[in-house]
Amino acid sequence: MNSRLLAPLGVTIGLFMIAPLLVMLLFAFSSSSLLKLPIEGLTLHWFAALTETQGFYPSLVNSLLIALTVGAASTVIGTLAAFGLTAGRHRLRNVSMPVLVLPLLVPPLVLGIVFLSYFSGLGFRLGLHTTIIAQTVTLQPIVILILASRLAGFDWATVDSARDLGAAPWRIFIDIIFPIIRPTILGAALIVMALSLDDFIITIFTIGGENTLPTLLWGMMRKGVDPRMNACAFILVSLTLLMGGLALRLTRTRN
Amino acid sequence: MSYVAAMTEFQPLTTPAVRLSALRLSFGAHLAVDDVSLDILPGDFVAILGPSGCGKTTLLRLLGGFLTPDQGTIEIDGADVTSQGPERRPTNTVFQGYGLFPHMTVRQNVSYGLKIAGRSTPAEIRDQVDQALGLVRMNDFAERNSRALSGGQQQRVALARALVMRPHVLLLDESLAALDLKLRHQMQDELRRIHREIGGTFVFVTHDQNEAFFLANKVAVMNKGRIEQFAAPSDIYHRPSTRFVATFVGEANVIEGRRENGTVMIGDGQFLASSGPDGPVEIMIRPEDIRLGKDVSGAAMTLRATLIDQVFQGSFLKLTFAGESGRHYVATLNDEPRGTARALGEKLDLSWDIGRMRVFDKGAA
Repeated sequence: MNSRLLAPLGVTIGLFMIAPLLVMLLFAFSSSSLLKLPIEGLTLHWFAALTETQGFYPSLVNSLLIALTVGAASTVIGTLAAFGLTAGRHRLRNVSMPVLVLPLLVPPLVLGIVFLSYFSGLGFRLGLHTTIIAQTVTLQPIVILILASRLAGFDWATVDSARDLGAAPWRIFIDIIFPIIRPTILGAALIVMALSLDDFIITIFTIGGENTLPTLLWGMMRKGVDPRMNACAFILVSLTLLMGGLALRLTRTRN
Repeated sequence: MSYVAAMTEFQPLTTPAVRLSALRLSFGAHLAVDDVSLDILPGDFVAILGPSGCGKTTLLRLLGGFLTPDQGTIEIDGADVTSQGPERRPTNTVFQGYGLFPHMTVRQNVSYGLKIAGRSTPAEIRDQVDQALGLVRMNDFAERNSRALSGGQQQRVALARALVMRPHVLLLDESLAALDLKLRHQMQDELRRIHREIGGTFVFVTHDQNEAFFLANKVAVMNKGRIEQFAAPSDIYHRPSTRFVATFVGEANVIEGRRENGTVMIGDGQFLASSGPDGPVEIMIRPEDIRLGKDVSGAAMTLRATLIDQVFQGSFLKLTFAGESGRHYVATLNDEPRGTARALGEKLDLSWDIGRMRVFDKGAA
């Protein structure tokens, strides 16, 4: 393909993909209650209306609670798994890596149904805890993949040196390994939190009577469309972008 | 035997700084270190020299405590440390990749071991670190981030970090291999100077013969997990004990022959007295031991050969000859008189002292 065409084509495709999102975000500030262009004026009215919507604050709190817990849990589990896989025997690694990463490859809808039948089969009452478990299972492979690739390029001579200088294993982890890979761990945690924040499919199957922002949005949509939803979407997108951006920055400072 | 002589026989010899006894370690089916025994004396600068994959780094890691032998023992200053890990051994290692802590400054890197040991006050640590950095001439870089250093500087910091611990034995694992030639020579000078200044026992792993000869007062040549010879550089070079040592260290002409009844027959009609069992042997002669011209004294070998190639190499000429049997001989000569050019195809007499030849039984280790 002509490389001169490539750049304009890329920009066009990018615009085509991002334009609906921009319009959707723009409507959050539209003074009209009809979602139509051109917008007549700008207002923060819909954000205020959103906060007055029944169930908004509990959903927001739930969303943040789930994101934080899932972020923390999958980071700890995923980091440990990545260490085990990197340090372990190669035969074991070749089998366990695909198995651990499997949840990424299964369609979320299937996972949602699987979790639902699993939890009800065990007699679990659905709620935040079941969503946290389900999301942790689904999202920890991301941490494993990010950490495993960081550890693959890790300079183990630093660990040997620390041992040589008299450091016990726990000291080596605290003084050497953790500080070196901390940006990667934080980055992975933020990516997981961002993904948890806007997860809908797994959540709707596993959360029972509770709501998160995405499920609240879905509930509102069934009663009709108004710019409150755009305001809600705006909040979600901002939080996700913020975390994603932070994660990128953190993981990119090294390498 | 006099009374005094009898006494000295029973006097304890100097305790070796390192004593390896019948060390053996295999990785699966691969025997990485095969029955290695070695005594290193205090103050020795030992080079472990060998091709890649010969087990020299494995041997060093055994010494440092990073690996445990399947069999055999390791003693340091007379104490058995075989089962001790690196954190408890009185050794410190400078690794090939240096292993500096990238999130710490130079000073923090060098202080780390002393802080862990917890035996010194912060002021003492500061003094010792300054001293160590002075030794490697890195004082001006103490507060720099270790990531912002060049390869040679990282090397110096890694050296200071090991030396500040005052190890009984300092281990260096191909530490200079990653540096470019000029920097490597500079660091070799530095290592010699440091060893001269502080003394102590150094063990150095390298695949570079020049480096080994330059630095070490004793060289252990390793091949396939075994130590083929452990001796001073000049002995390694002039009196190699195996064919491998002869050809790995420096250049050598290797001539095949046969020993029968204490006489070795070389193909070109020459004979040499050599004791040993009958069978095929290999005879080594260094290129610089070959002279031009006949030598009719009984102590030399002479043969006639055709000049087939000559190369001017600055300080010497390298001549290649073909003997009557078609065997090639390489001789290096001073370029005297300067600018001497000989015609290719010329038949010349070559000779060398019999004492300069080494005979190895073929098939033996």
